[in-house]
Amino acid sequence: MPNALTRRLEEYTPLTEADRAELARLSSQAVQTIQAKHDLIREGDAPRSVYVILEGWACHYRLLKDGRRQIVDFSIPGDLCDLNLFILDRMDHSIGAVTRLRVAEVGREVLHRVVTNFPNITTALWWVELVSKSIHREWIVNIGQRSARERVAHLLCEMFLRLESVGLTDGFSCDFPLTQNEIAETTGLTAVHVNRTLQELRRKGLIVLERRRLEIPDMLALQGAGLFNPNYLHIQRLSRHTNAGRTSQETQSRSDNRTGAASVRNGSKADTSR
Amino acid sequence: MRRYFFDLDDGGARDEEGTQLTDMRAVRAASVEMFGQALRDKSASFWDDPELKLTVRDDGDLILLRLTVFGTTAPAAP
Repeated sequence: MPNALTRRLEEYTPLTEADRAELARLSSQAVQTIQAKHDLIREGDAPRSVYVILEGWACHYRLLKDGRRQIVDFSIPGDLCDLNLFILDRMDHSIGAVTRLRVAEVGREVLHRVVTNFPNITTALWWVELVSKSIHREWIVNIGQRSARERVAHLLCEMFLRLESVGLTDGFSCDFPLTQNEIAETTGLTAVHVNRTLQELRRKGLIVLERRRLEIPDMLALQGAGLFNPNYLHIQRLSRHTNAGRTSQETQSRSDNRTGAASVRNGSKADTSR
Repeated sequence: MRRYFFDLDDGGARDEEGTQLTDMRAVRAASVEMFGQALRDKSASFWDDPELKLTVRDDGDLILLRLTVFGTTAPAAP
């Protein structure tokens, strides 16, 4: 069973056995545990290493002077926090543990060696950075244009698909450890509004969310509610990830949901819903 | 922390769960911010029925505050 980092990078570039062995090595050295709610690194600190997320969720955030917080990204298993650390003198944001984290720490020399000797990995890392930018663009759209309900639905869809791409979902269920406050800090809403929106989504049967587990009974409907089009995630292998045990018709309609059908439906919904 | 219940008359259901907030200052701040976002989200349909009301209750169902926006169109409007 390939590790999350390998699965992530293989989204973008075929990897050789030697590449995979190197990634397995990177994922198993200098492993540390970070307690929930602790920071990996703070804004203003000098970064020393890149962290490979092995278990748990991390969040990237900025704090305003008065304590208001905006979460600007999540890192989940298979993600690298983050390659920019390599170049920056000072962090321009903080990275914190949402849940307890297990991470592998990769220092500059090690990363430099990898990048020099493993061109496929380097290509994949470049893709990872580009997709990271694409996700940020989508988050700007989320906060700039979408309604409260659309923002929350969109976030749930995104995190589910990101987890699925690294093999961390079980059918239509996944871990979802964010508090309502954290969802609020991600979507630019109040916790009150997030609470109300989640109640609405539950009432409509679009989500089951309890004890930090999310289940999406109708992915197409939740995507519609969030005006969600998965293209920006550039996940190539979605149809291979749909589980054995589903009928081929379900599998086909599920991968349709994520590509053409979803975007057509989203296009027409945008005119009428607000 | 006490639980507060936010009811918006936008066709949605009553708040059954409530949100824990530290004090009335937090309730007041959250109510205005949430109300503003809800008004914004209604922008396409607001003028069909130009009123939006938010009521905040405590866990004893006592009303603590209310926010209301009325829209009126003057006869001069084309």
